[in-house]
Amino acid sequence: MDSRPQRCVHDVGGLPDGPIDRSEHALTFWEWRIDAMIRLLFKAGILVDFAELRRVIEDLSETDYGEMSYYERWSEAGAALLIEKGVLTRAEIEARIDELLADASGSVSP
Amino acid sequence: MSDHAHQPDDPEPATRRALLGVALRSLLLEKRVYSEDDERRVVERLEAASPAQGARVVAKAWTDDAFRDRLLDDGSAAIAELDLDAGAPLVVVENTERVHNVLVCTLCSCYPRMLLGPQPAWYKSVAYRSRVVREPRAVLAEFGTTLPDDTTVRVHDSTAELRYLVLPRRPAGTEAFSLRDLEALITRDALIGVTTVPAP
Repeated sequence: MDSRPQRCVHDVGGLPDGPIDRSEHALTFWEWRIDAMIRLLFKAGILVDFAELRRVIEDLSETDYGEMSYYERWSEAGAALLIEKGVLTRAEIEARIDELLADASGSVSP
Repeated sequence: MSDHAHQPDDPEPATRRALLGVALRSLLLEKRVYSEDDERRVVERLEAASPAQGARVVAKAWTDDAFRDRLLDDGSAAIAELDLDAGAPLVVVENTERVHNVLVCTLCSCYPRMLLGPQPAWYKSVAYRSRVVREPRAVLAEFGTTLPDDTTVRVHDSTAELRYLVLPRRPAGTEAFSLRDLEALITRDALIGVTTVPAP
């Protein structure tokens, strides 16, 4: 991993890696919603296209890129762009996550 | 259609990282950037895309030489004849006795989703993206696909601006098959090129 400083984090073609996990994974309800959210932001003219989204994903640290699920990367990139464009603020996003966490801890035990 | 997407065993997002998307959606709905109806329509459209669309294209190409020629010449125009749209220019690559094609997007996950449905997780995985361009035969073997030594293997790296679809070889013993029977043989993985279409 440390031997590829010249590559961006997403640029993995040709690198050695292990066996492929071929298990099937149907998209969850929330993954469909995040997918739809990004497409609706294109439609609304707030985001330009997937190239714009990928620019942010490709700037993620190797640790974040490796740890995040596919749609977590989309959310992270969507959030960064919505803040950059002044549609949402970091503070209101963090506050909403706090509320969601508080709701979740009230109804289910971790 | 949209209701069945919420499966009871879907995990509820519970970490800060997983809740980010939930928070964004709730704020965007609140600010009326889009509505729940807009969301439902998009999810329904996305859910309707499946490998059945890609299978229609291939079965038609197997049974109509003029269509196959048009498909190989200009994939986007040919699939438009079937009221299909790949969302980006489409290049169809034909498997033959001598050449086997397989698709990847090494940088991301580009894929003709409207023809194949959502990408399988492995297509988006670092393991597949990194290795298939370096050792395609070893990767194909993991999918149970072994090709003759003298078959040329071509790996096509997709981009956001260019999508590929594999036209698999029509298996022997299907000469009398109807379009519908042919479509039933054709799998997503054969259209990506990690497998072939087996004889029935």
